[in-house]
Amino acid sequence: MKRPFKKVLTLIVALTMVVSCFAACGKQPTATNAPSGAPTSPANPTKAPDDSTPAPTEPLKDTFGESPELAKLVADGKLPKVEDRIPVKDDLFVERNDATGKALEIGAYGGIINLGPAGGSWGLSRPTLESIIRYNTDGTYYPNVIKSFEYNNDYTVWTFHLREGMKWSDGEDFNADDITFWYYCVHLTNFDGKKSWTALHDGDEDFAVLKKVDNYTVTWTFKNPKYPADFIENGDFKWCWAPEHYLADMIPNAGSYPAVENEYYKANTITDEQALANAKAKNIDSGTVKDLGKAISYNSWNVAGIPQLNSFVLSTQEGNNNKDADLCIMERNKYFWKVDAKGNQLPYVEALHFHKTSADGQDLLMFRSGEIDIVEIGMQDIASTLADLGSAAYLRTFASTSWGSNQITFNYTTTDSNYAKLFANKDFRQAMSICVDRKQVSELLTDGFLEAYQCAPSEGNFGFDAEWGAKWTNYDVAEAKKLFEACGLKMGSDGFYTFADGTPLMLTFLTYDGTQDTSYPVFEQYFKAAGINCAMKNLEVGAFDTQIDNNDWIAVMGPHTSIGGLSLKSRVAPFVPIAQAAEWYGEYGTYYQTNGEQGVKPEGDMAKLVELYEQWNSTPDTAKRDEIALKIYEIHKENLWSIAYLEAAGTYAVVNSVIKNYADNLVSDDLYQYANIVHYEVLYKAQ
Amino acid sequence: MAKKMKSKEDYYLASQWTLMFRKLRKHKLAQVSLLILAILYIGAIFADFLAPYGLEEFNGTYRNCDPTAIHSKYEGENVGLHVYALKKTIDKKTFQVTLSEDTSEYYPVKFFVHGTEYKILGLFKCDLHLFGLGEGSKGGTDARIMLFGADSLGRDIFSRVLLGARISLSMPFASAIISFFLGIAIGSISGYFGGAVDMVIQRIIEVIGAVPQIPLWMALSAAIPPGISTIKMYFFMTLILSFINWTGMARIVRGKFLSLKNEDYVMAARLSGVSTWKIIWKHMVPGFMSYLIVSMTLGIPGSIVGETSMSYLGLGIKSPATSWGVLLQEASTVTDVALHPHKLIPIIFVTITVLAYNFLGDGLRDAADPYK
Amino acid sequence: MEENTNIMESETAANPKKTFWEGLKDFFGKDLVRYIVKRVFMFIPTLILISILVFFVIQLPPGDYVSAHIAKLATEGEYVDADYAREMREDYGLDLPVWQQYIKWVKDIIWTPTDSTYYRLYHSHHNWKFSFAYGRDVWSVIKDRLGLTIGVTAIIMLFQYLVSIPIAVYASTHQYSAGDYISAVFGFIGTAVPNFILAIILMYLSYKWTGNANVGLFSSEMLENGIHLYNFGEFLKRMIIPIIVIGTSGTCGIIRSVRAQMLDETARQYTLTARAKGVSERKIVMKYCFRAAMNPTVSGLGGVLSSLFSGSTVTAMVLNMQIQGPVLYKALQSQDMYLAGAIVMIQAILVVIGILLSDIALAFLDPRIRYSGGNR
Repeated sequence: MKRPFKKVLTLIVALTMVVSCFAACGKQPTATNAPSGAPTSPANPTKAPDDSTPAPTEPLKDTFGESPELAKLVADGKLPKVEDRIPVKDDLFVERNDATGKALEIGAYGGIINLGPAGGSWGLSRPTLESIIRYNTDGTYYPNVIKSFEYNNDYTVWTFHLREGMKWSDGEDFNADDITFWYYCVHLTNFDGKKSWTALHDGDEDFAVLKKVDNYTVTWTFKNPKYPADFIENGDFKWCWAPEHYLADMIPNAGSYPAVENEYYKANTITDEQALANAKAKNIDSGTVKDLGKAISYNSWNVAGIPQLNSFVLSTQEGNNNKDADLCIMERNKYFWKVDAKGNQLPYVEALHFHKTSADGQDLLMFRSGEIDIVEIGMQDIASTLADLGSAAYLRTFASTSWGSNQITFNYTTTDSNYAKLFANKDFRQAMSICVDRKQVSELLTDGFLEAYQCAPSEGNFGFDAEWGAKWTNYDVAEAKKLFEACGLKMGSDGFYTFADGTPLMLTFLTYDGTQDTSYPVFEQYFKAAGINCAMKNLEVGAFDTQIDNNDWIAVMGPHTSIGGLSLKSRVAPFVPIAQAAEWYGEYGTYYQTNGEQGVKPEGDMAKLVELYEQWNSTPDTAKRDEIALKIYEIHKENLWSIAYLEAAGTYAVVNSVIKNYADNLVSDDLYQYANIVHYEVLYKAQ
Repeated sequence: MAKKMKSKEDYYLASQWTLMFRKLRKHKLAQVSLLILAILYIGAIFADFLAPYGLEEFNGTYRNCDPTAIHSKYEGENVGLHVYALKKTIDKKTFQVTLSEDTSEYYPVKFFVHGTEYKILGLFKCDLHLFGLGEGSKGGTDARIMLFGADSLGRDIFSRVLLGARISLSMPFASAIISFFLGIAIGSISGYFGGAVDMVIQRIIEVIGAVPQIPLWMALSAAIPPGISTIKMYFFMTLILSFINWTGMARIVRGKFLSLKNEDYVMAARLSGVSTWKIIWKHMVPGFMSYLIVSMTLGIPGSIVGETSMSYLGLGIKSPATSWGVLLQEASTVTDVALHPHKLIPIIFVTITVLAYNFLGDGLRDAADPYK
Repeated sequence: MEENTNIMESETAANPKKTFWEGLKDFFGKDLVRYIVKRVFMFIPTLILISILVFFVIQLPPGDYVSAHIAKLATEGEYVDADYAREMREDYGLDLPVWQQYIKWVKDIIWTPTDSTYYRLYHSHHNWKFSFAYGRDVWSVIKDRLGLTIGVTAIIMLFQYLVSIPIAVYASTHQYSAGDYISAVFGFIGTAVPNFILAIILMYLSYKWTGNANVGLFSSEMLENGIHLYNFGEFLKRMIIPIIVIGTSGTCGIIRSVRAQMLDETARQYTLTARAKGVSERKIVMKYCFRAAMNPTVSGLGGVLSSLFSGSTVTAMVLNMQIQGPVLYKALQSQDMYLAGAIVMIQAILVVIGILLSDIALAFLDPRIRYSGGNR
């Protein structure tokens, strides 16, 4: 009990320090890029590794290095000189450290990094996307695409400074016009298919007012205070730009949209069909304008030809130019705006190759053959892969931010009063938790690699609490049966409990896409042995979500949106019932999302969560916010609306030994955009 | 000489079936196949008794273990067949799992031991198993005997192969019989009546036969209500298989009908006022029954392999029931092939069964050939 | 018509030498033309039934593309509101009753008028609609893999015939010998071992023996630069496993049918006559071999056309072969209904066309087969 508490305390102290540093900076740019790549605040003391001291920073020389391929293009007159392709020297992003703070090696140019399938609409963005700010594994962050940002005392005016001389991947200037264009023509018109990010909301009805100050400065003005957590730190707010010179003729008239008629946006006369035809002329196929908008201004990395600021850009070569191609190529951005400590333009490698696979395990075979250089791997496959490859590959571990694994949860808002009453009883959850022999489960499912755990933050994460992690993890069937009976259940003649009124109790666990096919039978035997009759119903993920949305379910194993995560800062929905997202709060979330029109009004501790969240949301004070967040955690600890049985499994990657600069001990989380934290632009291939 | 005459007389007087059986005896491989199939089916019927463990007996320690080694000498002394318990060590750095024998205690292999309860032929309760382990020499109960090793939940693959054989061997067979009768009924109607009836049936057959099987499977298995009992699931899967397979049989029957219906003996029957159904069943169907049985036999192996493919796609039988397809699907990862090849043992059973059915079918085909 | 063909059958059966000429004559004869016209006419109800069944089949699984798509976004950390889902359904017409969706689908495929947006953008009258998952015109998705699928499947089929015909001929001339059995085991084993597991085993062994698992038909280099003479060897190397896995799984059927045909032929009266006349056994075998081999090929035409179009699905998935089959499976899974519908529909139509062609060809090759029979 004592140790974790101390840890939390240190954490709070540290964070308070960070905040005071912020506050002290006041109107000055709160974050600049000198020295770029270094965290804006001292490393979080709970996680500070010994080797994280940054190398002494050398000033940049006036000459810059570039890859031999690009140098050749320059020599042939097909490409401007490297100095003209990157921002001016003072505005350059110099990448010196990896996300854990460890100094990077100076790499060599050339080669290709081969990866597995690109995956979904975000797949290509993970290794390549450059967002407004970027995080280190300790949760600190620094400006990335923008040079710096600042805000006034009452948090109503935010200023972004851009990098002078920075270019789009097609060589056009990147400046303030691309930001106003994005905001007024793409985002507020809803062309990108996103109903305006909350980061840009101003109160309930209004939106931020964006103004161009000069070519490299913009301001966002709000009527109400806009705190960092809801703006710059908001996980959705990853970008605020679009290439006007390329997209303008593909955006049809948005109809009447009074909020946006201003000096930056005038209604145009492009019809939907014209927009589609103009897109077609640029080799962009689209069925509807809505699809077109989302494709070219939201997941735009998936569309060949659209200029980007990212480290790698989708190739335009026929056959390799879409994420579903058998080989999808992301080429080096020739105008990329980052350099290494020696002034060499990044990225080091020429391209990323994504190889489509059609069945599980093919990526592992291709990794063995050397056709793929980096592959994400399940725990059970690590030993055989490393045994086959020996020193030709190494393992990288990503810490997990999940709250335990093998979660189950119940429908607290079910319309069946018998079940609703039962689930509302904490004793029932405790009984469901202790009737399972976690040690055996771990042996059966993971060979004993994962320890018994509860649905709680794991060690090293914000809010870690050993007592919480151990809560209800003892294995005691007799006690569980006692608790079941205390909940009013009656043992039936078939060895299974029934409700007090004699109706049979049947826990049908909904699962999706067969993810629980292996583990379900293991849990089933324990539940049945304790007298709980249960069944599994596996659905295709879409059907699963539909059934959850329709409130047509009793229990879930392996929820789609599980409780927990890095912190509220990363994403609120998994912690608090404010959206139609997670299973554990079911219709309570719908209630909040629809402003009380639909769903079930939260009560008791559920309601308290929302209350605390609203407090959390209305203060800029980081220490206070963490305090509130811990209160929210405390409620979760008390209630355990979801039960987990084992500790969270990390994610693992095996990497071909020729790849260098791949950081270790990273963290896999949505806030860090998963693989994005690897920083693919600094990976290089040893000769 | 007289004997030869007699046998010749026998030959001419023998029924079609006797002739077939006689000719089948020439096809050695078909006979061996018949024997193998008989053994497999009997094994499946008495699977509960032959299998030392049940379908869902998990064991964390024995996860993915190799086939159990059986020893006879313990500390230099002959103590009869025995095995040792396994212990597991794990390396948290390399994720290596090592299983080793714990020789401090031995467990004798015994016959007719008491174990998991089951029902003989679904009727009488019984807990006797052909073989199993006795108590350890120091009173331990940790050891398991797994002739084919264990799967990823520590379940005995030998037991699962035997118990899974029930579904894998009976489902294609049952569905073949259903398609057989469906095919005869619909094909004969189509062929005998001709005209508009024939036209409609022909189109339906054509359409079902033309649509590729995987979408059909996916659509039909999506229609199976989830969470139903094993028996119902079995019933549905059998129906799906039959639904996909009956068209081939119907087409054959129809073709035969077309060629037979103008034969003199059918004409004669018709003229003498025999009822339509009687003509079909008494006079026409027997004329090509042997041919139908051959094509039915030859259709079964396809269904067996088809079942494994569907299980691979997750469209087949689902846990807790098991089939050979499910067992293979569970073993179809690179790690299994690399580290646990024993999990591929069910392939041998699938292969043998499919080969046996094929040879039997060939033998029957040759035997039914009237030119020989 | 029934009588006519009967007469013809007795004539030709009596004089096999005239078969070819008879056939040719009949080919241009009134009966055959009438037969073909009738079959083609029958094609229309079949097509309508197929399109209904296909639409039904792709609609049957619960949920639609929008729900599947939203669920996928959610796994990527994106949440969309109900409005967005509703608008998406409206855009795609998924909110209409099923029968209206069906009619619209069929109508657009058959004829998209010149004044439609689709025609102005794509200059095609046949709108197969958009693939949700690919965000592209369905036809362009199909076209991507069409050539390759045909090429690869053709190579594999060639292999099947080259292996199975000699085995079948040997087996039929040496009935019940050890050789017959051994060759049969060899021929059948490919069918007996489930393809998906054989594929994984072979790929792993290939890695163990050569250091390369040969996953997929192309190396990264080929996918980038295309297939040329200099890397054709590599391509052939990568075809070995697919040929073994898919090729051997098809040999069984061919061996059986050719062997059966051969045994039939050798027992026929005219063969006996030929033998009695002293024609060499070798010549007899060679003579009937051709016809025996032609028969399964021709009668399997329906399946051949369709598999040339899509290739095998499960095995292609396991081997990561870049052909149509896996695209179809993926589309069915993600409820990308127009893509799935188009592929299934074309496949089904090809089967029907194949059957029609094979019936005509059989009628041409072997006049004993009745026109009205549709014997297969």
